Amino acid sequence: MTTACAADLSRLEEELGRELPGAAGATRRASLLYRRACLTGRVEAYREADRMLDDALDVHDGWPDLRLLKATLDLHFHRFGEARRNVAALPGVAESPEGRLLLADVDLHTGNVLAAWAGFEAAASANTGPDVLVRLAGMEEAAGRDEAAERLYARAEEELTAKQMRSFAWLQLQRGARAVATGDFARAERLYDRADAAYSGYWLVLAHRGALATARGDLPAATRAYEELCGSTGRPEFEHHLGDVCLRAGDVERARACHDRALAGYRASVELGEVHELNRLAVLYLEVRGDATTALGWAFADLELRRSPLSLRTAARCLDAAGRRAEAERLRDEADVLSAPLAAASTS
Amino acid sequence: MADHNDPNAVNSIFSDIDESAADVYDLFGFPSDDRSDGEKVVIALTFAPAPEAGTFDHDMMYRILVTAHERPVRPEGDFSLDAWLEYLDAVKDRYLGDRSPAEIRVTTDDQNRVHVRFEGFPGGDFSAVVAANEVLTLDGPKGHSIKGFFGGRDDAFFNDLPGFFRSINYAPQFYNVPHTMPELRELPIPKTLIELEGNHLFNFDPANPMLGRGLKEDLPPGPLTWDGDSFLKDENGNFRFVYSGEDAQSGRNINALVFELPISFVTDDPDEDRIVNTWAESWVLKASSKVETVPDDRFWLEHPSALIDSLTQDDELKRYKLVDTVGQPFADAGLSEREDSRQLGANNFWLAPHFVKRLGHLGWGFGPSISALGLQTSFDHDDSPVSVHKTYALALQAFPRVKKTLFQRLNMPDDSWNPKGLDIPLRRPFEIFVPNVCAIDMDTTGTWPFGRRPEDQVATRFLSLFLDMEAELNGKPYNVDTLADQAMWDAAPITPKTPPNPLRNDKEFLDDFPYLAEPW
Repeated sequence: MTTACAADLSRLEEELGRELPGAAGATRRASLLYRRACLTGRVEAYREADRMLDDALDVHDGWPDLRLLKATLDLHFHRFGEARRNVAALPGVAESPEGRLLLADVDLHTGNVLAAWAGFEAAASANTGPDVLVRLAGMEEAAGRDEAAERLYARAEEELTAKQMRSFAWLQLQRGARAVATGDFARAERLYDRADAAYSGYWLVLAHRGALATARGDLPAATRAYEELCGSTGRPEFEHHLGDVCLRAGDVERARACHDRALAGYRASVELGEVHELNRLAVLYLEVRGDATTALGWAFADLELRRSPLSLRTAARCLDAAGRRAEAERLRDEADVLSAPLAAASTS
Repeated sequence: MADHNDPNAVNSIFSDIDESAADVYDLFGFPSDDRSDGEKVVIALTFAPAPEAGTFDHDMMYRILVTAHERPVRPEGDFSLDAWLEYLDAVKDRYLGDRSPAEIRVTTDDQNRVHVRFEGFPGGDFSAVVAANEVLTLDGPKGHSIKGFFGGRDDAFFNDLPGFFRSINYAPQFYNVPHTMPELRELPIPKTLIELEGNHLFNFDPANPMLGRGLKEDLPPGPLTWDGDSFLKDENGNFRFVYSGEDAQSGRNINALVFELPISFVTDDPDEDRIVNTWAESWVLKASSKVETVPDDRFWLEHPSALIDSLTQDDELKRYKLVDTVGQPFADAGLSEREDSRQLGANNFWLAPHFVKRLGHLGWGFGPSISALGLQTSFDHDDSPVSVHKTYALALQAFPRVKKTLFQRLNMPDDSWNPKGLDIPLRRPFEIFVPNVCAIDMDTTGTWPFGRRPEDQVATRFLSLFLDMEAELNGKPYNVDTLADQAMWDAAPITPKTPPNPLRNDKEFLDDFPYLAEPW
C-alpha cells in the first residue's frame, strides 16, 4: 500500500515533469524541489533545490518569492547572514508575514532569543495560523512552561485540516520530542503513532522514533530505525546516531565504521563550503574521537555563525575537555543568560 | 457571486494553489416550476469539481442552511445611514437570534456515496446514503418527497470573468503575483467599465489576447498604478469595453448538490412564510478528526471549557473547519473583497459599514464610466469625466455618494417575475447583500433578486446596481436587464458592441430536475 508520503512524492514528481515558465514557474519548481527535500530528508535533494534557486535568481532576481525561498534554504544550511540579506533584498519581503517569521527564526537560531520571541509575537498579531502558534509553543517549551506550550500546540492543531496531514504529523513530533525530553516515553510513542497514522512513510517520524528508542535504551529498535534512515536519506547525522547506538550495544567495530562514514559526510559538507554540520563535527570529535582540540576548532567555527545556547554549550564542553575551564564557564554563563529571558517572557 | 474566486485560502486563480473542493461557487434558489403535488423550492449549490466532476472530496462537508419567514415590511421614504443600520439591527435577530436554521448536511465516503442529513425542518429529521450522479427521491419521515441530485454538472455560471477582473484591475487574473505581496490584488487603479487610456497592465492587447483568459504572465516590474486622466478612445471615437461578452466558463464542469423541497417540508406555515432564505457553507475535516487513533488530548481532558465554539457547534461540526460561504452572487468577491476573515455568510451584518465604503469605492470607478457611455448612474460622482480611484475610511463619508445606489428600487424588465400580480415590493440593494443569503420569494419566479434561477445573468444584473433606476432608455425605465440589451450597446460609443456577459449558458438548462445541464 502506498504511503501518504510516497503518494505526495509521486504527485510532486509528476508536476516537476511539466514546464513551468517565468518567475512564478521557477518559484513553483523551487518550492517543489524544496518540498521533495523535506519529504525525503535526502541531503542531495536540499542541495539540488539550493542550486536551482541560485540559477533562478540569476534570471529573476527581482522576484520576491524566490528570495524568500532562498532565505528558507539559507536557514536550513545555517547561512544566517545570507538569509537576512535575501529577506532584505527586495522591498516588502521583510514586512510580509513569511518574511517576518523567517527573520524571527534566524534570530532564534543565532541566539537572539528576545528578538525571536518578539518576532513571533508580532507575526501572531497579524496571523494566528498554525505556523506561528507552533513557534510560540516552542518558545514556551524552551522556557519550561509545558502547559502553555501544550495550549498553543492544541490551538495549532485545531487550525489544521485534512489537507495538511504532514503539518499535523510534524506537530505531533514536536510534542513528542518534548515528551522524550521530559522522560514521558509512553506519551511520545502515542504521539509518534499518531504522526504515523496521519502521514505514513515520513522519514522524520522514523527519526523521532529512533531518538525515542535510544532514550528508552531499546537499542535494536534504534538500530533498525537509523539503518533505514541512513539508507533512505544519506544524512551523516544518522550514521553518527547509528554509531552511537552500536557503541552502546558494544559493537565497537560497527560503531567505528558508522562514525567514520559520519565524519566523511560532515567533512564532505564542509568541503562544499557548507556550514550546517559544524556543531555535529565538534560533537563527534569530542565524544567519539576524544580529540578536544579538533572539536574546539569546529565548535568555535560554529560560534562565529551563531551564539545560540546549543553552540555555546557545545563549545563549553570542548573547552572543558581541553582543560580551559574558566572559558568554558563563561560560555555556559552566556548560554544561561540567553535562556533567561524565556523564563520571564510569556505568550499567555 | 459566482464565488469562483474566494476566499483567498482556496482561491484557485492563484497559480500555485490547487483548485479545492471547498471553493463554493454559486447558490441557486427558486420556486420550482413543477407545481404538481404542491409548491416546491429548488436549491442548488455548485462548487469546484475536485478531484473531478462527479467525484467528491471525501474530506468535505457541505451545509445548506434554510429558514423561512413572512415577507418583511421594508422601510420606505428617505433613507439615512442610521435608518439602514436600524433596519439591519431589526433583521439580524432573524439570523443571529435564530441559532438553529434548518440545514442539510452532505458528506461523502470513499466509495463516493453521498450521505445526506436533514435537520431542523418541520418536515422532520432524517438521513440517507445514496449514490452520486443520479436523480433520486428522498422520502421524509412525514411523507414528503424530496428530489436530490449530487454529482457533476455543467458549470451554470456563464460569465466573462476575465472582463470582470479587468474592470476591477485585479492582478492575479492576469499576472503571477508573489505571495509575499498580498496587497497586490486589486491594484490602485480606478475601477471602470471602459478602458483607461494608458492602463497598459489591464487594457486588452491584441498581440497578447489570451492574457487573463487562461494565460498569466509574471507581474512586471515598475509602477503598478495609473496616472492617466481619460478613457481610451479608438480612431472612431469609441470607448473600449473591458468586457468581451464571451463565456469564460464555457466547457467547464462543476460538482453540485441540487434539492427540490416541498415548501411544506420547509415551513409549517407556507401560506405566510413566503420567503425562503438559504445560504451555504463548505467545511473541511480537521486533521485531528482524520486520524483514527485515540488522541492524546491531554490538554482538552484537563481544560474542556477552553474548547472553542463548543457552545455553538455540535459534535460533528467540531470535527470540521469552516472554509467558504455563499449566499448572494457577488456579495463575497465584489463586496467582501475575498478576504478569508470576511467569510461570515449570513451573519455579515458587521460588514454593513464596509459595504457602504466598498460601494463608494466601486462607484467612483464604475459611475463615471457609465456616464461616459451616455447612461445615468445612481452614484454621485460630481460629473467626473473619468473614473477615479478613491477609498473611504468612514462609511459616513461614502454614504451620500452611494445613497441612491443603496436604496433605489431595482426595476425589473417586465412583470413576468410576478406571475400572480401580487403587491410585492421591488427589492433594493441594501437588503440584498446584507444578510448574505439567497432570499427566495415563493410568489415570484425566483429570478434575481427574488431568488436566483440558473438562466439569470446575475453578473450583468449586479452591474445594474450602478444605473439610475429613475432614468429611462427609449421611453422605458432602466432595469436590472438594461445592460443586457443588445440594442443599447449597438447605439453606444463602444467596442465591442456586446452586453458585458453572455446572455445564455453554453449548454441549455434542463426543463426538469436537476435543471443544471449535464457535464461535458
